[in-house]
Amino acid sequence: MFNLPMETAWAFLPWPILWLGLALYMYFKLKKEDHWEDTIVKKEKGED
Amino acid sequence: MSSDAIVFIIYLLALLFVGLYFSRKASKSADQYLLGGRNVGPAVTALTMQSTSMSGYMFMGGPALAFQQGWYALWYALGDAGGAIVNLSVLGKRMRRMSEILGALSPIEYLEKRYESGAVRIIGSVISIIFLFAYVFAQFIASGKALESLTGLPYTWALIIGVGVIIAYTVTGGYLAVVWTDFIQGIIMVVGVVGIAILGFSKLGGLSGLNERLGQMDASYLSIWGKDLAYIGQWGVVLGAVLIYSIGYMGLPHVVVRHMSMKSTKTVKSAIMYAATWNQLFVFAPYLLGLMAIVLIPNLSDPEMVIPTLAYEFFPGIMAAILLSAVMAAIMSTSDSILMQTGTILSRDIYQRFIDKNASQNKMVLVSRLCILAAGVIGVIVAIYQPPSVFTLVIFAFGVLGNSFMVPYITSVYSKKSNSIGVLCAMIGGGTTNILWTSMDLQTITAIHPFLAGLVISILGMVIGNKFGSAPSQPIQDAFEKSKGDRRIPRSIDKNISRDLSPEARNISKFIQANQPIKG
Repeated sequence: MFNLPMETAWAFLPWPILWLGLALYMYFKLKKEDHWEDTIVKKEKGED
Repeated sequence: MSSDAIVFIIYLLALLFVGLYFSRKASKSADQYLLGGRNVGPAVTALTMQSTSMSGYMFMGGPALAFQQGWYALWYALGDAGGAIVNLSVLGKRMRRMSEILGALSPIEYLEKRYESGAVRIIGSVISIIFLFAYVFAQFIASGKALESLTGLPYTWALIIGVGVIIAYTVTGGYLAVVWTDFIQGIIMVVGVVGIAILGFSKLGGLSGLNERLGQMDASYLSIWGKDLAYIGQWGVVLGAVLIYSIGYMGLPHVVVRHMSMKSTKTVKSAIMYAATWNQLFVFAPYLLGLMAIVLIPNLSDPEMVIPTLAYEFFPGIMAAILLSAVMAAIMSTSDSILMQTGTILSRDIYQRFIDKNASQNKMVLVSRLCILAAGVIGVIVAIYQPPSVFTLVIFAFGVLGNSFMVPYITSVYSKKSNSIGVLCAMIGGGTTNILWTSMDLQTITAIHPFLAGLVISILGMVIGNKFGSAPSQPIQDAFEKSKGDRRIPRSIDKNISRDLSPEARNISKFIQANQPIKG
């Protein structure tokens, strides 16, 4: 792959995709948490 | 005047303008001057965090390592590319909440208030001032070197002009000027380095073409173990190289303060996406340029000048001018943040804590400005008279700060029972281990990276020290619980509760039905 030895290609090339995948996972996880926190705050204020 | 000089002067004037623009806002209170009123949005948080983290090392030390070792250097880039994601995910929300509950304006004050110990603040201040100074000296020297080689000015004058601009906008505009200039510099850095990388790849036939040429010159350039397989089998070194930049940022006071200044905890999720995207675009490119230099300029005498030489020899004109600004942007965005943090620690953690506890807001802003100015002037004098090896100093200072503070910051929001004895053991043990490991060159004997060694000792220090100190007070334990935020009950427990309660609910409804009064 890209004229690299297999060992080097597998060690280095997947990382940008893995980091972006982790970032996306964290984005949706935190978005869910924010939504949950907003619901709690609204309930505490008696808006629901 | 040449086009690159004009572009560069416009760039410096723009930075000064940002400093002036924020000067009035910064003068309102110590909170505004030192933390920007805790009102920084996601894009600026992400880019200031990243441009602060990526110092002049990325344009000089990183490419030099790739030029000397080939693909092995990419181990450092791997961790670096995810550093911000890890940092924001682990500390972001909790540290933002905790710092506001504690009313901390500096990352060292935060540690004192969380661990309820004046000794933590004194030792923390001493470690951070020494190593932040070392870090900023290295940046100043890099700034002088870069300007000297790129403009032809004498080193001393280049240093004074470059650092003079940094001090001017930092002193006048405070934290807001620093984060907004960092935001602009972050964009310049990525445009400069990606632009040159695209031009470089087009010259060499893409990544495949580059690797083919490298393989023809010396196949070991393509190995994960370095040129001539110098690091073969040394997993302790490789692990340390990956860890230092993936988790080490959580121990740098001038980086973790970005968590404290975010607008709200909701800033974190978008900041992660901005930082992750910026990182994937930026982090790998300087190392790849180092690899290109092996093919394009194999006889380069000073490996640290890989990027400027590539720019001026192969892509002169406007691209070279943008790149000069990008190199200076990387140096300046790190220097201003360190200067700001050094000034904050001197004014808030030393002056206000030990000299004048009742200092007014105006006095604190003035003292902070004077401390930043003094730190900058001392930095310039040292950089003029004692220029040591730039990037050895950066890695050393980075490693010591990371090993001293990373474990204390993480346990401050993840371990309720962690206490002052534990944090003192972690700070002193981790930092001292890194200093000894580096100065005695124990990496060569043990094949273990100094950062990895310091990390292990810091964790052990925290675990063992916690057994001896007393548990934190109730208000701190309450603050710890609040810093976790409102938490949803895990689905498994929720399911069990419903299952446990359902027979009871059924019986209650049967009871009510059976005992209803007969009507009519």
